[in-house]
Amino acid sequence: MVLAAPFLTVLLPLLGAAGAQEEDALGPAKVNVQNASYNKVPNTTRGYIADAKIGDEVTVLAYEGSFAKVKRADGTEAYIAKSALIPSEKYVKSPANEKDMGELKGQGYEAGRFDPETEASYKKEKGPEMEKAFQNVDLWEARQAWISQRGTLSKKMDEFRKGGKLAEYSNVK
Amino acid sequence: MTNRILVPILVAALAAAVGCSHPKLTESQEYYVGRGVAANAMFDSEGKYVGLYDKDQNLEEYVALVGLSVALESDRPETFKGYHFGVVNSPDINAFAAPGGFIFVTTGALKLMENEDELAGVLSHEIGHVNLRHPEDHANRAADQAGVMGILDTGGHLMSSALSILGRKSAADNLATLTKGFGSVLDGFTKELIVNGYGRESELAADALGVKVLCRPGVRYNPNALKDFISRLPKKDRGAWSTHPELEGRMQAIDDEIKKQGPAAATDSARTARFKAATAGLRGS
Repeated sequence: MVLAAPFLTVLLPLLGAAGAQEEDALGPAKVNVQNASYNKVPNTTRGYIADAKIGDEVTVLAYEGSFAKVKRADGTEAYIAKSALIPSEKYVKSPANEKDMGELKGQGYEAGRFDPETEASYKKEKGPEMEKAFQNVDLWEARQAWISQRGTLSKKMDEFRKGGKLAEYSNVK
Repeated sequence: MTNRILVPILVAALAAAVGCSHPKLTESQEYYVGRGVAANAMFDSEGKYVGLYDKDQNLEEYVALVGLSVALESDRPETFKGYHFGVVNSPDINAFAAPGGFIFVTTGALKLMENEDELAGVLSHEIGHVNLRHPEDHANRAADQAGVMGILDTGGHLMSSALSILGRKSAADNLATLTKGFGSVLDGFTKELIVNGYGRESELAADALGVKVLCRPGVRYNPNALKDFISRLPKKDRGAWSTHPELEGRMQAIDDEIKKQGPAAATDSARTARFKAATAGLRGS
């Protein structure tokens, strides 16, 4: 009981925070996805400035639809999708990130999530056919790596819209 | 001896706290569940491996470009590792979305489609599910039912560490529990998703949001194409809308949403031409 009380004092507020509803709060936030971009306008394929890295710290200044106007660490302002951000205090290090995984292991992290380790164990348990299916998923993700290259994606999407008379190229305004 | 008393108390208290706070999978966990669903989707209903239709990579890229034209203009343009669009090698007429933005359409569905706007309509419906977090909610419920929520998310990480410190549960035990839970989530999720979809209410919500995104200035596909495709579905592939009045109700709801959006774009011949070119190999096979 002596040991349990301090543990619970520390853990319960954290658990509550993890389950709380996310709000459109202004202030400090972190990038919570691996592929996102900073843009000059509230759009992911227009006005590309730079790739956003998971764990980047920003300050949310305002929201415009599905986008947040943020101040980046270097002081410049940009737009980023709201779905790419999480309030800093709710950011959880991702085992999918090698750097974070190293830190998590340093903190005593041991197979506590659905992560590469759980996936590897699941594949092993299910056998060669499932291994093959996951290899197919890996190949598929690798084939679509172009989607994460946001600078070139912007150009590719613009050509596609133009060729198909979509968006600004549509006759419906 | 002390640990034998402390550990169950600690675990019970943490599990209760996690339950009270409605834990949910993180973006990264959703991504791994999505990958698992994707792998499971490569088996047909009899458990035979069918895989993705990857012999025509131009078709896969084309489907991804159509999907991205919609997804990147939706309310949730970013997911943990971005949207992925795959063509499943199956004669069944189906499309579905897994957690993390993994979206699939079968070769059977592509063969039934007549133009790019129909493909965009179907993908927009699936992107609607992702925007509304139906796959994630479904995965969360499946994880909850599998009894693994107590060892997931922030609480899971901390509980795992706490248990290790107390010397009660080894990393191997944790991994075995997680693996079992992961398997239960994937089995339940994949079967229900592919066969039943997300339920009538969620399907209607995905229709409505899908139409809304199709009509956005940054997209401009013909939203009526979604209706055209649905009306052509064989009765056995209509899911919850197998009877005529039920199907009429769904079509009416889509119509109502289209009217709310103002002038709709027409299906464009340039788009239809590139759809026919992209799917030519499929139709010939």
